[in-house]
Amino acid sequence: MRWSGVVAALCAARALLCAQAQAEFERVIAETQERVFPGVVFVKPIQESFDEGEKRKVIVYGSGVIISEDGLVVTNHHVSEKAIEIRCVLSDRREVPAAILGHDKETDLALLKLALRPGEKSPWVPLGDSEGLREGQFVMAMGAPFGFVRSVSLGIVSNTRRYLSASPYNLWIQTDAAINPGNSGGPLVNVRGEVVGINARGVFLADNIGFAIPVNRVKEVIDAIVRHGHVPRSWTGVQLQPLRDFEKSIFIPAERGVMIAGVDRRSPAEQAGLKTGDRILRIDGAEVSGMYMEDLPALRRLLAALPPGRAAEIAYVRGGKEAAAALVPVAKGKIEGDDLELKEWDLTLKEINRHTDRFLAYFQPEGVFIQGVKEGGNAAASGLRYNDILQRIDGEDIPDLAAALRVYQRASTLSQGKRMVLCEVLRGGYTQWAVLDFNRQSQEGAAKAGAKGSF
Amino acid sequence: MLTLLVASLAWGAAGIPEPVAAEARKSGESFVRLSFRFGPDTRSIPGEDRQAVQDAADRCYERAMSFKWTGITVDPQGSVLCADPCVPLWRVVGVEAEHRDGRKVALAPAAVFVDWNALLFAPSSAPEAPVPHVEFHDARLALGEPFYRIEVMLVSRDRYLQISPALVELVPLGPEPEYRAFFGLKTEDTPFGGALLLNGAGAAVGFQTEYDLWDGPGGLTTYHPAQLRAGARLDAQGWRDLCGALDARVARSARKVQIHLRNVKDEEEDDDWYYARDDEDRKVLVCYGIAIGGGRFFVPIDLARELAHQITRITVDAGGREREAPFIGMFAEWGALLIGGAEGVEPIELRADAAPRRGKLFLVHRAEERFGRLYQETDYNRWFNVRIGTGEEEMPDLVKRVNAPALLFDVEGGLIGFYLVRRTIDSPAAVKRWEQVASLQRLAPILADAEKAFDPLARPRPAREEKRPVWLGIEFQPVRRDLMELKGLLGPTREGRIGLLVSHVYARSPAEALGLARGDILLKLVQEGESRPVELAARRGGSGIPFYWGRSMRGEDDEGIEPSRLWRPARNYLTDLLTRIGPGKKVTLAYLSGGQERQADLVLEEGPDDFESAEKLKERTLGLYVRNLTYEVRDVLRLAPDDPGVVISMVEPGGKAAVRSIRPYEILTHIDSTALRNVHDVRAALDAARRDGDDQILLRLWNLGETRIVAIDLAAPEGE
Repeated sequence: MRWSGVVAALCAARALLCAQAQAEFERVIAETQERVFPGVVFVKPIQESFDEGEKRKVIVYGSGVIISEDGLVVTNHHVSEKAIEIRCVLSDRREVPAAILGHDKETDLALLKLALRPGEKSPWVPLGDSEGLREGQFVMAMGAPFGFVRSVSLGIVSNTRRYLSASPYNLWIQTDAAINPGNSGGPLVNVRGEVVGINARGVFLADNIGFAIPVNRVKEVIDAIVRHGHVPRSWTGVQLQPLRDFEKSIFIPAERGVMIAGVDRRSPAEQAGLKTGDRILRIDGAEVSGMYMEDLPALRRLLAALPPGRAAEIAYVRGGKEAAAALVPVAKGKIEGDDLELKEWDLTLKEINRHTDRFLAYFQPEGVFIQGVKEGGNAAASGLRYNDILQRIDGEDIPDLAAALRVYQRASTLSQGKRMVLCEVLRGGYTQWAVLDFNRQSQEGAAKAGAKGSF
Repeated sequence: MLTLLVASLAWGAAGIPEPVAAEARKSGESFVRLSFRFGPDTRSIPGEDRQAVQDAADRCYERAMSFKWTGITVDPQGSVLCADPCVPLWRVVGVEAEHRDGRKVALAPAAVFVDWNALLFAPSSAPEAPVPHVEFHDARLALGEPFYRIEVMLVSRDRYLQISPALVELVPLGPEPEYRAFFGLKTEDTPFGGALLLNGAGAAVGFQTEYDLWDGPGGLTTYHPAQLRAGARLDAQGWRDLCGALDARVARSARKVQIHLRNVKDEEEDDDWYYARDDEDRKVLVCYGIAIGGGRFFVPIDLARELAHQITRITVDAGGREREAPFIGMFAEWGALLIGGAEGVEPIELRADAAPRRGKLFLVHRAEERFGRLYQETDYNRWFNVRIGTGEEEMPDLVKRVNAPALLFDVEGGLIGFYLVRRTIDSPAAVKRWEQVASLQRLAPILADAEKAFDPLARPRPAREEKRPVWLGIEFQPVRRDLMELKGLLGPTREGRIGLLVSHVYARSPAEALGLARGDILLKLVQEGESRPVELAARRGGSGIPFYWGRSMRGEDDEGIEPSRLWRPARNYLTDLLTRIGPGKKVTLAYLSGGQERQADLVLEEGPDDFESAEKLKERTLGLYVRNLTYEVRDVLRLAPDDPGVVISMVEPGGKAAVRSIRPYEILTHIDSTALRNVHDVRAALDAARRDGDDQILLRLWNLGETRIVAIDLAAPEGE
């Protein structure tokens, strides 16, 4: 009898402890949410899209987090890119316009500034430290998934150093906290209410696989944007490859350094004499290690941080022998070309950028390509296609968007019935000719009184 | 004339004379409905998969089939005369006649008329009473004399008597032709089983069938009773004897021929052919050749030129063993080959004057082998009509359908010709094919000097050589009307209907030597010795292929662009045309350059190796297939002539290369530090690594400017 009483008492005590632990847990979650939520904003940009062969305004939504009392908001680049207008809904449900201070496509980050009332101070959230994150720790994703504002989802850190190939300069925090469209730009928060990441991605059709940009990388980017308006990086033209790739069962027989997988044509690395197959050991005397994929973003940051115009010493191994090269990086410059809509022609153009459009740039390092062709439009009917590199129109070279615009404006003066131009494009490495007939558009346009071009 | 006119008016005014009508009604009693029963395909072998060999047309013969056919009883026993229904003789296992009174009588084939397309059937048992029948009279009809055609038409289960009055409007002048009794009846009607002809007194004076078997003015074949009685016939025993003699004759001179081919791709396989497989699972065409003297076999088989290129060896059956038979030549205009290896085989006699005669019965013999068994079939046939074909050539029509190839014999068992595929090359752009009778009269002189009749380009060729087309060395796109209108070139391009717009000129090509440039428009070419130019008009994409970038270039998490086959195939409309003309031939090219019309002569030449014909290497251990980098691949990938590399053409699923995400169409540039110029370098580098005891090698891969290094071990996979 005595034992049963003891057992009963122990059970009761356990239940009480569980209940208390649960209550404590819920209190922590609630307090964290209360602390952070005031700094979470619903971001509503109106973006310009050139994808479908015409310039269109697209309303998107995402999230952001206010990081200073004067209204600096961190969000994702893909939320705010090409926005012509941004409105943020604050926790007190006020809608406040915001301006873009700067963005960084390569880390998918952007910095906005809320147009607060004079003297107004906004609630804000401190940025934490992602270095101390461990797998299994509780985190919360806050934001507006599918427009459901002020949502919070709870999960754990699934991986602190996830490599995604599209992100050259940062690793990712993987979490099973629900991150859905609309969460982008919102904070990933630890139980102490610190922002440890910025939510940015999910995996289509996956359950509970989301990714956030580690806050330490965010801080670097924000700092650069505040100081320079963008993130200045150098370009060397070196493509890196780790020594071990478990996914592809590739194991390079070496223990130090990082492999050069490729050297871009006409790049500083090519000029320095570096070649595919060289293994970099040191950069300006500092040992480098590219054993695994996860090591590459840091190495790329290192190379990107080299001052442009100043030679850096690269120690490398080739054919078993050590050597050195003087690598003089250059400023990376734009990483995305500008856009242009040619309305009457029902197509949109974009400048070829060697960083973003690598395969087009292989065939033609500079120039313009067709970014979008409107379905059923004049360009589509003429046989022009997405990714055609526009080389000549009516015999005139098209080296840039300005040239394309000139030709377009001149062609718009052609009389009805003769509104055709001969386009020479490069498609898949081969030249093709097509006659772009835009008589139809002009007929429709003439029927609508007062219609104007939109470029 | 007046008498004739009055007679005809009187005739017209009086209608059909009563004696004729009465005789017609009486004759109608002699018409029977014929039902033919077919048995299974006698070519079938018990136990074989019949489904595989029997086509849909054959299946209709599996059941008793009654179709609208009529005949007339011609004697008291109930023998039935009818027009030949032209059914496969070996299928008929029973015939039944249904009389007017509903009696059904089983018949058996009694005779085939040698000179007339009519059959005679005899009752299987004697009738209980004399059967109403037609009695023929030997009266002849004169010019202008009226006569009446009597038919019985079967509609469902009913019978309808039709009388068609007519006049004899045509008679031969001078001596009567061989066939005699040609009434020259002009009519479009075609009686099914035959029609009876009555004179003005109602007497039966003729029998008429479908088909115009005689060289006279248009009309239907009409038989005078005297000819029906006297004409040569082939009865059942005679038929069996003839078939037996034929089989024996063919067996003495014909042998099974096996044509071994390189691995033909499935899409090149001709559904009409039955392919066997040899020990190495290569395709083998099985057919039959007939010895014609001089140690040669004449092998009737229609092969496209490209298939002839794929011949690796030919063997003939020599008493159960296979004997090598050298390829002698393939005829340009006829679907047949000449091969050697006929020594010791009795040749068949080739009579230079032998030919099927119009209207006269001849025998068609076919032999084919399926599933290791020989099928032989013999049937009779006739030709009745002459079509004027391409080049105003006379081509006889056969009354029964025949599948080429076949041997043709006369009723005496002598070879008189073949039934072959005939080809004409209308222009280098068009090859026409049809089947026709090739009499010995026509073929014998050709066979006597066969070399002249061969297609010089239809010869076995080594694998790599046969894939190389004749080239000009350009890429092009077809012109379009709007394009030519904008360029002001509608006239020379016939409103944009002809022309190939040059988009690229390959270095060291005939086009470059001619000075052709991008933007030029090729219009026509004329082969030396030909008067008609070929207008160049590619309608489908020209040398273009749809361009595929692989995975989206705009996608995030992009592992890179999927390597794709960017280069265009070397075989296109233009190279196909030039290849048909042939290397070494001289042509004149008409083209536009800078808006001006120009001409240039050139001698056609085979192109260099391209991706299809490139030397290749299969590296089983790594699961990789590589090919040399050829000119068109280098050009599109913007690789310099001395840039190293070989193309990965295939990656074996699950192999070492596949596991390491090596993909087809990547360029393998180095193995370790060795630059690879060609597949031999690949082999040498791998051999060297193995000799040195290397566990692992480093492959350097390139894809449109992106490179990567893959470490791969050289150990053989488990199980190998």
